[in-house]
Amino acid sequence: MNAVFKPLLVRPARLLAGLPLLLALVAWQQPESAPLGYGIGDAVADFRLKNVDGRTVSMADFPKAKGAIIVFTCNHCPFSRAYEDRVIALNQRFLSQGFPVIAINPNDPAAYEEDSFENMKARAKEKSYSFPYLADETQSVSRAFGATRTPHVVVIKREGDKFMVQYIGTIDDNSQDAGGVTRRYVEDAVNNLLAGKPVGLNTTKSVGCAIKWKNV
Amino acid sequence: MLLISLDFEAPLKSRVLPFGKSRRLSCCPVWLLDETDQNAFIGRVNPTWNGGLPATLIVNPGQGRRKLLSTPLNFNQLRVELSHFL
Repeated sequence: MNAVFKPLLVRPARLLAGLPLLLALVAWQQPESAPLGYGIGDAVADFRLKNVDGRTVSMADFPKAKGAIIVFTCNHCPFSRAYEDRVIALNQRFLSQGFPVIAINPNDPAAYEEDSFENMKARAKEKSYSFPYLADETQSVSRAFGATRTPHVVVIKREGDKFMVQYIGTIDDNSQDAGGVTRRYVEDAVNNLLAGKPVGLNTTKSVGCAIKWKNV
Repeated sequence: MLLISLDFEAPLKSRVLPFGKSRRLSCCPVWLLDETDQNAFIGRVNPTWNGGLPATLIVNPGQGRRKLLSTPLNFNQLRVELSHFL
């Protein structure tokens, strides 16, 4: 299942080593196309981001959590909007079982005014988000997680004092019609983890809105 | 050039078609890809595609080469990318 990510991991390094002439091309491509992030089984570094309620949130704030469902999402993206109610339902279902939803907006608000912190607050209020909705202002957390688009989900599980990546991908197999879903990837993954079983299918892809990175 | 919309089917008439008209996309065919199982088709379009939109696939069947650019491109970036295929 990891195979799809391997070319992304290998290619930039090869280009850098063997073909210095392509450096310029790689340099402008890399920030937008292929941030290299955590893979399955990797430990996640804790993060501290600003929530729509004004406070900051980190994994350390969830001492009893067995894990978390981290959702990279935003206001403007139609695919994110299509999944909004399903993200709310995931938190309602799994918060009490120790897997809270933590939503993170990775976008540069300069690219989409709709994704500004003020508009994040408005959206969270309008839809009564029962989970944190965090602004990744430096985009460093999104890069660490290898997020490239919204929506994008990473399920992590506590092992001792660490959180390990268990699932990377999409929520289910039908973004445009919640009623037509036949496979619930995230639900299945979390249910398997709660039952002490392997996740099963641990990597999926979906169409989404490319994350707008700040020019660095 | 072939433009493929990955919009949802429901707003096809209300939003997708008017958008195409307003952006004068009459240059080229516009298809709407209405395949719901994205996990199944993304890798078949190109193994390096992460699913992010916009994405551009440059194909040169004669040379048997294709490249997927999963990033927004301005005119100059697209011109440079295309030049490698001509």
